[in-house]
Amino acid sequence: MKKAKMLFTVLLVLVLLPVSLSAAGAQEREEVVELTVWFGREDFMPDQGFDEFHERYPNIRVNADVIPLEQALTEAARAIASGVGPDMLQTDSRRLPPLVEGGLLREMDEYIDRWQKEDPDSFNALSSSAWDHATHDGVLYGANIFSGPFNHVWRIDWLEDLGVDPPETWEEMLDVARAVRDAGMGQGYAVRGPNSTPWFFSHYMAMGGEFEDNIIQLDSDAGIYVLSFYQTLVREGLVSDDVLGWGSGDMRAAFITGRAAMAPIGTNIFPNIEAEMPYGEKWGASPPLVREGYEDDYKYASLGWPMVVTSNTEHPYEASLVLRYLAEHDNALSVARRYQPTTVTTVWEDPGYLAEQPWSDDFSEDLLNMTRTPATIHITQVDNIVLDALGEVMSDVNKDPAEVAARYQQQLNALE
Amino acid sequence: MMNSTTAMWRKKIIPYVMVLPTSFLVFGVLGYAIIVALKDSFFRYPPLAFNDPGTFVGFDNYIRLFQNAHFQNSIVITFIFVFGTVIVGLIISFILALSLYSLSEKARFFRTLTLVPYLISGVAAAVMWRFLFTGEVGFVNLFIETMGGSSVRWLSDGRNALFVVTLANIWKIFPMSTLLILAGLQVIDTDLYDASTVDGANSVQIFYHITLPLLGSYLSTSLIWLTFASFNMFAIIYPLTGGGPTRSTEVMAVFMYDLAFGELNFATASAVMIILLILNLSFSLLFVKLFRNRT
Repeated sequence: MKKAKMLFTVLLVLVLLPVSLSAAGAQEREEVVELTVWFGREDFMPDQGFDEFHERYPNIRVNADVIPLEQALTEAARAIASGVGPDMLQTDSRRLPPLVEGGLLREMDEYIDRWQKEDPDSFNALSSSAWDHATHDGVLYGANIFSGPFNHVWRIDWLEDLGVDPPETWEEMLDVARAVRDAGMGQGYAVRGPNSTPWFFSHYMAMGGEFEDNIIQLDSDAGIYVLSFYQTLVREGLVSDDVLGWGSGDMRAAFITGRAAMAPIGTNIFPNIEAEMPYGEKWGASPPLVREGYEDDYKYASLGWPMVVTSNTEHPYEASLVLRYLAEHDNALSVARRYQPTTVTTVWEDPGYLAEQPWSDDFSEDLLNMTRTPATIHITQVDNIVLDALGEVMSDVNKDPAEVAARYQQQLNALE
Repeated sequence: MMNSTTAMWRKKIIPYVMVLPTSFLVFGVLGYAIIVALKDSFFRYPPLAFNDPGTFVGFDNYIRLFQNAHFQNSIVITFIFVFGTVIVGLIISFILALSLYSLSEKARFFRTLTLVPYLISGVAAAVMWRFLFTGEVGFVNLFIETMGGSSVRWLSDGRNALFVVTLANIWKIFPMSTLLILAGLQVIDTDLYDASTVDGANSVQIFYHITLPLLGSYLSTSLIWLTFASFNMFAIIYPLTGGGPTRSTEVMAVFMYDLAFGELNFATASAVMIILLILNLSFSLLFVKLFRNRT
């Protein structure tokens, strides 16, 4: 009898143990939260990936993928409409309005507030650009860990040879460019053709340009001035004869390979310049110049690539933990060292970072005062109109910029 | 009797059975896309609202399109681009096909070599052409300057840029057309040439009265290929010039891409696609009719 009881007990244990273990396992599996995160470039991913995150949060699994920034908008819209969209995606902040208006993003103010309460140190380390670029109509949709401006770069050795000081205003810049041209040293300035707007907007904002309802005012004083500026560059031969066909690569190459004295170049390209010539000896950099008499209207334009949370997610808090992870010093540093500047201010003081990127110290104060390039739901239409206007003044140097600005402003105003 | 009837039916039916899988594939994939695009071209949708049923607007998208100055410009550019490609591409293909036909069997390697441009991806080809023609540092300008000439603004001048993209397009798509014509040359019975030579015909007469008529269907297929590939060409133009400078190389395919993926206006982009489809079909029918009569 005893033996039978024992046998029954053993059998019972043998039967129940796997059942209970599998039930426990199933429960554990059920508790694992999976998050799909789309990065806009592989370069934006931290060096260590999400290994440490997975160790810290064993119940959250991050599946990271790379969907190019240029495709993120349409890819996300299609995927979310089909119910298989990502939980988070990275976008160019200029594409934020269409994403919001398309109902593709989730409001995150509540979870950003929790971040501030639960982890004030990492929250307070972020500059205002972290939030500016992730906001639309006063609502936060994520956080912007990386933000890059266009700067003014110049050849120190060329200017010394000419006996001129680095320009501080656009008017001085044109004079220096004329001197470079006259001395036969090369092109005074390198700029890209009428095929992309961010550089143009950077010039416009530095020259004191304003936006109404986030739409550029071409017929404003600054609008006419910036069109005249580009026209002057072409008319006076201060830029390449081929400027109309130039992309960003041509423009950067002209400066890096010693064919142009000055150029507007993003901070992410500085390491490439540094590889060719030492900063502070052969080349210098500063935020874009000011326009004489309009110093108070100056704005240091920046682009941002915020990580935003989609309406597809069922785990907004876990998504906010991913944001916090990406904003951690070491993770932001790993990206900033090889790609774009970060909004994590502690990185700006990191000794290793400062040693590798000697210009960083010169920019840290300015980086606190960057202004997001305004965005609208009609971003492509606005860009096309601006580029048509720019193309017209650059291809016909006798056109009246004021007349061109007025004509294209009508098209901008007519956007529904 | 029974066997011969069965054999006759088999002979009639089997070809149709054989083309069924391809037909399903073509009508299933392309047909669906065309039907959806046709439907979408009569509707208007809010941006990015893929599940929105949209609003029926009739021909409004088409009317707006034809009133759009940039679309009008893209039509003109497209026709210059397509006709430039077709005329020059056909001449080059014909000459090359005749040359390849004259080669001995040992020189078959050159037939394979002809295919190389077609096998290179459009984007890679565009990058290569950009290196060749880029302003001051492009190979072509360096060559011109070495020979004592002045450099040319290839990609920053509207007309030159259109010339370069047309040239790049010809380079990319002519191999297929060459092979089609070569295939046509190879099926012509050589006895016809011998007989006409005996009758005293010279080489020009042989070409016009034997070669050309017998190549009719191959020439029409070749023309259809050149036309269709050019109307739809995007992969070369976008990376090479992006449609610029100042829209001087913005063909309809590039305009359509910008509408769809830039402005997120898929409905109007669908209307452009339908117009492209109609143009392609019209030219295809024209070529088939033209060369059927000729043959």
